[in-house]
Amino acid sequence: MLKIRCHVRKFLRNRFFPFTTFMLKYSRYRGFLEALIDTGSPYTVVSTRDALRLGFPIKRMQSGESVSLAGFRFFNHPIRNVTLIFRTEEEESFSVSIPQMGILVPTKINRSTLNDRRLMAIPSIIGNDFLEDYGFSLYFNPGKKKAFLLQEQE
Amino acid sequence: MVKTEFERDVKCFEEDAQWLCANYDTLREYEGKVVVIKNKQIILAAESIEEAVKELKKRGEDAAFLLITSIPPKDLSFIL
Repeated sequence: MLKIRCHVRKFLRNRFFPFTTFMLKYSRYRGFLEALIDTGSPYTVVSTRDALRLGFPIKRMQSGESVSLAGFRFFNHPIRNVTLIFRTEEEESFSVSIPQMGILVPTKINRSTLNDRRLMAIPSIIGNDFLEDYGFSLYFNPGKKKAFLLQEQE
Repeated sequence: MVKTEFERDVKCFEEDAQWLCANYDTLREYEGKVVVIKNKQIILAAESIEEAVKELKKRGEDAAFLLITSIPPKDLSFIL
């Protein structure tokens, strides 16, 4: 069984949420991400905040499926052939090549949206698509502040 | 065993994430701001991600490899 490390921290309303860290490689872009594991999201996405941090030219990425999140409208701009490298509980690297994931690009990009504290609070997300496609289950116990992603062998 | 640069960097990033977990309650003064964490300390607090990235560039730091997060205002709530 493969266990991917996760951590549990406060995020909204003083409540604990599960996060994981990984490296993203796409074309010439690479960097580390901390992502919320959100089983309620059908998508795995890079947040606007992280996209700007990694240097993605989001103004040129205003295309893709339109999605609503936390009261904002975004394009779920697809990026293809992305590699995510996670760390396992055994301190080894676990690399996954995913055919497609999204970047959350606001439908309106201006100084006001880029300075919006609510929008910038939206984290990158590991969604249900990732869990389903790669056979992971999420263990999350907020009371004990414990979480991990488990990939069981068939 | 010699660790690769990636292993070193990812370990530092993970440690910074763990530090954020442990110290989140002490960061209330940064509510609404974008904070940059390196080596288990806040090295920068900015009003926006653009401002943070710009300042990091000036300092010769690569934003892509640092833990940058925002501390949501206490009353902020949304269902993802």
